[in-house]
Amino acid sequence: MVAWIQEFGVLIGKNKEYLTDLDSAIGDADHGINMDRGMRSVIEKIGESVGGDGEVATLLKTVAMTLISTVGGAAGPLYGTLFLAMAKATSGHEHVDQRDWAAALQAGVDAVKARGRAERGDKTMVDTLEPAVAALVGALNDGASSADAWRAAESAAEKGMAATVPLVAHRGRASYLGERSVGHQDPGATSAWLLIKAAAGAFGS
Amino acid sequence: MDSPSTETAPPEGSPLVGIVVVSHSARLAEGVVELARQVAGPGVAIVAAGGLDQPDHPLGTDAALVVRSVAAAWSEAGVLVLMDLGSAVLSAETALELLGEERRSRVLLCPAPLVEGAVAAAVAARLGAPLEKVASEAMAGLTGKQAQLSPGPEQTAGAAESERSGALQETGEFASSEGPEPSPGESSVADGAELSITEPLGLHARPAARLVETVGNFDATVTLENLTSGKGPVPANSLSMVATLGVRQGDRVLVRASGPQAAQALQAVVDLAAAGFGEPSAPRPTESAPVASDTRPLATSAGLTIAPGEVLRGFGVSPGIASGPARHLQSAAAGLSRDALPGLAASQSSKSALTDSPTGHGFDPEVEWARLQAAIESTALDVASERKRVLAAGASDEAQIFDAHLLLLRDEALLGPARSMVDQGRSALDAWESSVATMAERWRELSDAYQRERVHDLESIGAQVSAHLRGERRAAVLEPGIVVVAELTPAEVAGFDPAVVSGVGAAFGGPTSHGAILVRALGIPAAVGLGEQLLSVPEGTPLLLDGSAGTVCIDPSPSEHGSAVERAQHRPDGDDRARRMAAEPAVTIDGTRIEVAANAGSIEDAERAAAIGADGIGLLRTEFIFMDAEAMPTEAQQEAVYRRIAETLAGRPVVVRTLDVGADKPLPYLSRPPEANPQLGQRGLRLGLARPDLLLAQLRAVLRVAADHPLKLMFPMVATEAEVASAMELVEQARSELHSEGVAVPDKGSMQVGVMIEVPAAALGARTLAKSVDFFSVGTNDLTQYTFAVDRDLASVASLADAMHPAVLRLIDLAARAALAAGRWIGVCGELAADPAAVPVLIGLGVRELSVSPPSVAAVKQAVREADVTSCAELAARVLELPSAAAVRAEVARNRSRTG
Repeated sequence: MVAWIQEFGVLIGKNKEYLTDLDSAIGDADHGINMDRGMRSVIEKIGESVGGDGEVATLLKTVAMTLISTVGGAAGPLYGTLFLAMAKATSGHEHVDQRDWAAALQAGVDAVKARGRAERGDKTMVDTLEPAVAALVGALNDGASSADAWRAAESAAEKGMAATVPLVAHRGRASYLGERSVGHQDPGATSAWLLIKAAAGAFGS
Repeated sequence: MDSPSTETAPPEGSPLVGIVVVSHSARLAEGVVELARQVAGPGVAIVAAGGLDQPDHPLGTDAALVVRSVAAAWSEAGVLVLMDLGSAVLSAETALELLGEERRSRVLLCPAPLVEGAVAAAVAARLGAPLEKVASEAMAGLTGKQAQLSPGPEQTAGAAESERSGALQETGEFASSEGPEPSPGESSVADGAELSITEPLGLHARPAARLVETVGNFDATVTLENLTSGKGPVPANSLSMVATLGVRQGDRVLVRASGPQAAQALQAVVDLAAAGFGEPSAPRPTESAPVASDTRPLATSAGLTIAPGEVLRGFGVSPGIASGPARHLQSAAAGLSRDALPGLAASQSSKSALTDSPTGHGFDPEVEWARLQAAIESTALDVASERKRVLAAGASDEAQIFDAHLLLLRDEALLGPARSMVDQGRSALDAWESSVATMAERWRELSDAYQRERVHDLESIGAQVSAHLRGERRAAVLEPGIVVVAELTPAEVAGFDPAVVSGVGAAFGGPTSHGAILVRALGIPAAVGLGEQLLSVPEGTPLLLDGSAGTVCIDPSPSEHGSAVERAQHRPDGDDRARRMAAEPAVTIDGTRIEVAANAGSIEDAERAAAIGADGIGLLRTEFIFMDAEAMPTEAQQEAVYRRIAETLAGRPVVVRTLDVGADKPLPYLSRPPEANPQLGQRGLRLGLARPDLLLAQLRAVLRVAADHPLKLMFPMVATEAEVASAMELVEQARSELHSEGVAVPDKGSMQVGVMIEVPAAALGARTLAKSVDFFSVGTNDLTQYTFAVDRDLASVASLADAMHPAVLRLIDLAARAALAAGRWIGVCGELAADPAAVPVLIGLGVRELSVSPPSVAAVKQAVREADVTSCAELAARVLELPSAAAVRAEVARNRSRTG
């Protein structure tokens, strides 16, 4: 769990400029900077607390609250909501197995959809997260190994992300652009892909 | 608002809806809150939840901040949340999720326009509307502007509606917003009635409030138009809108009504007007009474020995311009000695009622009401004797002011709400002050200058009653004005209430006295050394004091007065604004947050700091614990004090400075050899290292509290790195001792440890020191004294030492550069931090925390808000090259006039 979050932080850091570039095309050019600032704070906070499976929910909540207070843009409450819902889903679990993670992610994605009033096809992070979780759950149900399941999730996430390019944005700042948002990859969908990629690296190995 | 009554004020005491304003920008949120507070009155909690707590990136929204703000605005009646766009909405929704189930149901997220919505909601909340009504008022917030900006009513109102009602405008309905539109069959024809206003003060606060309430009882849309001035029409259900009509005596007002109960509403308004809007028909002192304003010339016929317009020159010791009647301390004190009041015994019994009360806040209404009445009677006696004194002096016009005061003491509009609050279990003092504040706010928002000025009378009389309720002797200076004394002694200054004493002039004394420092700390403009002539100025003579130039003009002409008021123009507004925003964070124009903390040397100071809205305590002088004790205070005793202070600050940081005494402050239980030169002797950390037993006990006490509260530790009088290393070893020793005793202590590194920069050696060696500590705090008083080798209490040399001298500023610059290079922060906790002129220079040097005496917090925060870091840095670079303190001050002033 800690490895996942740390890896996510690293990926965000590495792709900060890229995310910001994407955002400058259809948003307010701050997604990379905002997420990077948020994840730096998260890594700092996580470093302070003592990890362990029994404390997964607490850690997730820490991640959520830190993002909520440091990101600033819409990504703050949205990622915050995702982690908060995951914290709720794992609360009380002594041990969190792959199925629990899948269920938690599912709960997180549902919460993000509710918070952002977004569905697939709206050109948002949901376009990445929803197919990824579906692939993960499907693969696990089919008896796939956790490595395979996460690989499937990662690939579905990447496809979902790429699929946002031709879409018209219906939510968030990009929706002000309407048709002009077509042809640009959604920054939120991109950071969400990094989240799944980090998870695949941490849980799938 | 449900029971049709034209008599009662808004439902005082019942909980009012709270309001939270969420924005990406802290400044926008604060600005909106500021606007809304103008109409809300003190009873409505309005809290700003703007921006991110990220110095480099202040724009954004924070759901956790929204949660805290909802808690701060909490009311049983619920909280309305307004927000700007985008993530503000998401953050508000996330905040809702984070709130407890119980509270969530009483919080409403409202998509109304931010500014108009907040103002409309504030008015509705203040009138006691339930949460849903407040929300619908906010939603209708734009209607006023739309009506104003549209060429004709048909563009804003429904066409059918305007046809029915002639020239009637659609308004933000309050009472009928949920009601159906009248069907054509109903009696909905707009009826008009013309009123001729005979009230001497026009439709001022009370009549207007009654009118608004009356209208609110009917399912009708009522508008008012001032036919005389051509203002309006405006909705009659909005107090603030009615006030905009500026209805004066003799004006003709057109009332129009539409809707199902139009006729009844119209009749009720006509009846109300016929009944004089419920105003007492008793002699209205307000008709002829002069206004007790600071600026109004008082009796000048009482035998002036000094020519009007004469200017006395001395030294300015506390900047600012004040005008007002001369108040001799002695003669004001003559009417003083009223002892404890009839209510005092009752006050004690009410305290036991408080502790016995099952609800925790129930005062006995009978006792409290009796106390309030007693306090009012006592005040009335005081006023009557003042009046007699003034009459005896032949100032019959002035005596009428006191008639107005006496009338206020009998005013049902003040007493009624106070009574109902007392009946609800609130204390007499609380009820009285709320009632006074509510009325003052209501008057203040009026466009009628005459009425606004009467707020002075109201507040003055309110404060006198409050003083009686507190069992205090009457303040030495009761009437607002400029206090005239022979010499400025600290004891006298300590008794000054800045709300009453607008300025201080002293006949004798120099600029460096302790009294002068104290009066500056209180923020009262003052001049000293004005000459003996000052003492022969008759009581009440109008004075114009310039605390910057060090002059007092006696009985100034209107033109002199005018130019002074012009000079001072930004100042009163600024002060007022600063006070209102004292609890808000201080952020520079370009978005850098500067912590403005308070210095404290007692538990009371800490309480004051918390109450005034300081961002924390930047310097806790722990000496008071040691000086007041008979024996060395134990670890447990110290812990109790630190804990109490940390709890008082409720999560805001507290910087605890270890014991800072020298041979000049002997402790009875600590025998020390006398020193010829205590300022250069074994003091501060030097003593602590010489007596590690003493320091260890203090460190252990601090660490125990730091486990639960954000305490920081600071060592005074540090000169070398070796001292810091020894001190750090003692901290570690204390930590491991406690740890092995099983006591919770903060981890190494989680409690910040810093040092004072007050010895030039420390500033010069700051690069080395910065490696060992977490922060610096510059003690400018000692740093200045040690830099110039001057005893600042020695008048013959004191003028050499000025903290604004580039010599001192360069030392601060060295320390700041060293701190920033090492990733540490630097603050200033000396006198200099409280000097608004120094604030931009210090910010420019890299200082990010200013710790000042509690009364200076508001002004310093305001000075921060007027600064921007970039131009401060340029200013700082310029002043470091200047030759003198005077040149620095002149450059700062030039800079201000350029940018301001």
